[in-house]
Order: sequence, then structure tokens, then C-alpha cells
Amino acid sequence: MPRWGMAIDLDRCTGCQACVVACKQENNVPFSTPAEAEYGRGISWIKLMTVTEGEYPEVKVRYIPMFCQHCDHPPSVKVCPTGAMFKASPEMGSTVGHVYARCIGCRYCANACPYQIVYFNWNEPSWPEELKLSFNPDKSIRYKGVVEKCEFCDHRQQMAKDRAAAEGRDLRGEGDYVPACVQSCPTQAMVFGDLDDPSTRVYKLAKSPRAYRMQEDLGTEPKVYYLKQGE
Amino acid sequence: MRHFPLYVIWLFLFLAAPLLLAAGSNGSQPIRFNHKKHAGEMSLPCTTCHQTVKEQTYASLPQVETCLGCHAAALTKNPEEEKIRQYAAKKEKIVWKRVYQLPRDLFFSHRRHVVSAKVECVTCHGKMVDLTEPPTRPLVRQSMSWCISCHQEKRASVDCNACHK
Ligand code: HEC
Ligand code: HEC
Ligand code: HEC
Ligand code: HEC
Ligand code: HEC
Repeated sequence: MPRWGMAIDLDRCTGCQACVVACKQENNVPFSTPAEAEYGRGISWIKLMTVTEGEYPEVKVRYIPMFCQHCDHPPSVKVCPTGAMFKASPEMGSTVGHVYARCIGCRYCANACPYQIVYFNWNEPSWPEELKLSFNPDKSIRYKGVVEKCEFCDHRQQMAKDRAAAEGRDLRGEGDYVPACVQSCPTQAMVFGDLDDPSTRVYKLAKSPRAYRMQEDLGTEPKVYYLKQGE
Repeated sequence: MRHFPLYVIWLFLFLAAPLLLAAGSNGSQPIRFNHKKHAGEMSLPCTTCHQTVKEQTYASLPQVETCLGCHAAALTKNPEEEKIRQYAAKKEKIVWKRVYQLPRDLFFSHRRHVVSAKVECVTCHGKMVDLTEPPTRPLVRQSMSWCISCHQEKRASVDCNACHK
């Protein structure tokens, strides 16, 4: 059974934000109004953190794609009072999932998450009329009062499992499905697959000496690995 | 309005109930399709009309072309049957109303259940073959606990992420 994880080669990331757009489109993530954005209430399941280093004229900007780290010990799940935020079973890839229907909007998870990637729907999400035609029918549409975050495109996993079952086999550790961000990355900086399967690329990258995880000292055991930039 | 006698409303509803219910069941589908005749008496396989049930997640509802295979010329004097050819002449699609429909945040696959798990249609949809009229409501209430109890029995997944999306 796969344990889904990702490795992101920061040397390859150009900061183009294709992943950010792809994610928004794939997951029916609402647009926010300028007023909401001003309050810091915009929703973006994946966002690009920029880190500026050095001083003019020797400045360097680094880009770090940031989204749910799908911790093996997720603090968000520990504090959820209803079980809406949960750790998926090994058969569903051990990701951190979220059932909107059970969410009561307390936002404990949003505060407990050290990566600050859980978003709250402060308002009834709205879209321009034309864009409603491009909703992805494979993904739910959320509503006011629930939180949301990256789910490693679990809906794609559901369909991949369905295709695999029709072919009478189990889901493979690599190649049967990737999240939308990985698919859209023009430099292939993002690699997705089973962290427990030694034949996958992500397994090898996670073992690379350049690999690190965010705030590793917290013991959250994230399943997203970043490969340090070379100098 | 404060002292409007409430029992008048109840009395009205009670007396009008048969009418209201009949109005609901008539004409709720564009054509009064008869499963008993087609799938029962003629024993057409369900896949004649629900063509994707073994190949896709959805079962699909039939379009005019499927009906025309047999109904290009009149087989009965039933005006409901005539409607098929009217749709064809107008080149319109038949828009069937959905009876079984999960909320949109759920994933369900017919292929998985019908082919891999070999569950019969009747287990989840009741005796459709006995219906002489389109159903106005599900014969089987497909609640979450209903899905889960079969999944537990058959050792299928009960992970929220398997069904919720
Ligand atoms: C395990 C339960 C289950 C079995 C077995 C099953 N169905 Fe369904 N069926 C459902 C559910 C649940 C829905 C609602 C799906 C949705 O809303 O996405 C549905 C919907 C439908 C629909 C509505 C339209 C559509 O395109 O999906 C049709 C038609 C249908 N089923 C026919 C069949 C036929 C024919 C069979 C047998 C070959 C069958 N079903 C077997 C559970 C089942
Ligand atoms: C395989 C051939 C076949 C197909 C396909 C078929 N029918 Fe029929 N249908 C028949 C026959 C035969 C009868 C006449 C039954 C009888 O003798 O009463 C009939 C009768 C009917 C009647 C009259 C029913 C009644 O209660 O008297 C209607 C309405 C009807 N069909 C609608 C449809 C629709 C709508 C479709 C497409 C979704 C369809 N049929 C597809 C063979 C077919
Ligand atoms: C000749 C075509 C035909 C055949 C054969 C047929 N159906 Fe249907 N079915 C229809 C049509 C048309 C509708 C939509 C109108 C209605 O509900 O009666 C429908 C609707 C349904 C629905 C309700 C779908 C919804 O809206 O949720 C179910 C369930 C269903 N059929 C199951 C079956 C099963 C099970 C069989 C096989 C035993 C079968 N059907 C055989 C034509 C057919
Ligand atoms: C009568 C029994 C039965 C009912 C009712 C039933 N299922 Fe299933 N379901 C199964 C079986 C058996 C499997 C495992 C299929 C396999 O092994 O390929 C399964 C598999 C699944 C899967 C795939 C799980 C995975 O591991 O990827 C999903 C999703 C699913 N069912 C959803 C539903 C939903 C939603 C409902 C209710 C609307 C439902 N099922 C009702 C028997 C049932
Ligand atoms: C086998 C499929 C399946 C699994 C597994 C599953 N659900 Fe559901 N769930 C459903 C279906 C189907 C509905 C819609 C029921 C309806 O329309 O009545 C639903 C509805 C709900 C609702 C809406 C309220 C209600 O009861 O109708 C909540 C909340 C919910 N599920 C939470 C969960 C949580 C939390 C988990 C994991 C512990 C989970 N579900 C696992 C199929 C499933």
C-alpha cells in the first residue's frame, strides 16, 4: 500500500506558479475578493513562498512551494474535535484528509498546523458566472464555515484506484496518478509517489543528501521533501 | 392572521393529499417509461439502456437513439410511446430526472461494484423490474450507514477518503 509523498527540487523551481493555477482549477478553489485578500483571507491550497536573501545588488530570491505537508503525525488531526480532519488509512495512502460535511469550522486545525496551510471559508465562496462552467465535477465545492486544504488530489486517487481495480490490479507506487500541481510543473521540479517503495523516484530523492523537511524538529514527520538549492 | 385556525390547513392538506401525491407521480419524468415491460417481460439486459454501468463510474440514462432501435415505428397505441418519435423529430434530448443521486461531495463507481465486487443492481436499487411507472423516489435509501454496513461486511474500505471527495 502506497504512502504518498512528494519531493520538490528547489533548483528546478522557477517560481512560474503553474502549480498554483492548476491546483485552483483542479480543486474548485474559490477566488477571493480584494477586500478578503486584504484581511489575509484568500484561499490558495498551494502558494509560493518567496525568500529574499542578500543585499542589493547581490540579491537572490528563492521560491518554495508550500502546501499541506501530509504529516505522519499531523497536529491538525490531533486537535480536530469532530474527526473531520483525519489521517487516511494505508489503503488510501496515509495522507491527511478532510471531510467537509463533518467540519464545524472551529479552526483548531488551522491554528495547530505549523505550516499554516489550512484555510477557512469566511464567506460563501463565489465565482464569476462564466467560470462556473469550468468547475471540476470530480471534486466537491465547499461552503462558508468549513476549512479546506491540499489533499494530494485524493479525487484523482479515487479514480485511479477505480481504473486499477477494473484492470484487476492494485494501485502502483508511481505512474497511476499524480496531483494536478505535479502534472502542471513545466520543469518537473515536483515528483510524487510512494515513499515506501524503493523503486520510485520520490523514494530516491527523499534519501538524497540535499533533502530536508520543513520544521523537522517538531516531529510531525511531513511527507513532503524539499531538495536544497545548490549555490 | 394571528387567529387563523390552523386546522383548516391540516384539513385541506388531508383532503387534497391524494390529488397532490398523484400530481407528483404523474409527469415527473418526460416519458412514463415502464421497466416491467422492458426489463421484466422482455428481459432486456439493463445494459441495453444503462450502457456504461460496467465501464464507467456512472450508469447513464438512455437517449432517443437507444429507444429508436425498437421504437422507430409505433409498437403500441400509447401516447407516451409517441413522445419518443416527437423527441427524435425535434432533435431534442430527453432530460430524465435523476432519482438516485448522492450529494456532490461523494465518489461512487458502478464499474467497481458491478464488475469487481459483483453486487446486483437489485441490492442497491430495489426491484426496478417490477415498476410499471418511473420511480418518484429511491426504492432503497442510500445513506452513509447503508454503504458502510455493506463495506464492513465485505471488508471493503471504510476510509472517509474512499468515498468523500
Ligand atoms: C453498490 C450499489 C449499487 C449497485 C450494485 C448499482 N447501483 Fe446504480 N446507483 C447507485 C448509486 C449510489 C447511485 C447514485 C450515484 C451518484 O449520484 O453518483 C446510482 C445511480 C444509478 C443510475 C442513475 C444514473 C447514472 O448515470 O448513474 C442508474 C441508471 C443506475 N444507478 C443503474 C444501475 C444498474 C442498471 C445497476 C446494475 C447493473 C446498478 N445501478 C447497480 C448504487 C448502485
Ligand atoms: C429492445 C427493444 C426496445 C427498446 C430498446 C425500447 N423499447 Fe419501449 N417497447 C418495446 C416493445 C416491444 C414495446 C411494446 C410492449 C407491449 O407490447 O406492450 C414497448 C413499449 C413501450 C412503451 C409503451 C409502454 C406501455 O406501458 O404501454 C413506451 C412508453 C416505451 N416502450 C418507451 C421506451 C423508451 C423511452 C425507450 C428508450 C429509453 C424504449 N422504450 C426502448 C421495445 C423496446
Ligand atoms: C429499455 C431501456 C431500459 C432498460 C432495459 C432498463 N432501464 Fe432503467 N431506466 C430507463 C429509463 C428511460 C429510465 C429513466 C426513467 C425512469 O426512471 O423510469 C431508467 C431509470 C432507471 C433507474 C433510476 C435512475 C435514476 O434516475 O436514479 C434505475 C435505478 C434503473 N433504471 C435501473 C435499471 C435496472 C436495474 C435495469 C435492469 C434490470 C434497467 N434499469 C433496465 C431505461 C431502461
Ligand atoms: C452491497 C454491498 C455494497 C454497498 C451497498 C456499497 N458498496 Fe462500495 N464496495 C463494495 C465492495 C465489495 C467493494 C470492494 C470492491 C473491490 O474489492 O474491488 C466496494 C468498494 C467501494 C469503493 C472503492 C474503495 C477503495 O478501496 O478504493 C468505493 C469508493 C465505494 N465502494 C463507495 C460506496 C458508496 C459511496 C456506497 C453507498 C452509496 C457503497 N459503496 C455501497 C460493496 C458495497
Ligand atoms: C462507503 C462510503 C463512505 C465512507 C467510507 C464514508 N462516508 Fe460519509 N457519506 C457517504 C454517503 C453516501 C453520504 C451521503 C448520505 C446521504 O445522502 O444521506 C455521506 C455523508 C456524510 C456526512 C453528511 C451527513 C450525513 O450523515 O448525511 C458526513 C458528516 C460524513 N459522511 C462523514 C464521514 C466521515 C467523517 C467518514 C470517515 C470516518 C465518512 N463519512 C466515510 C459515504 C461514505
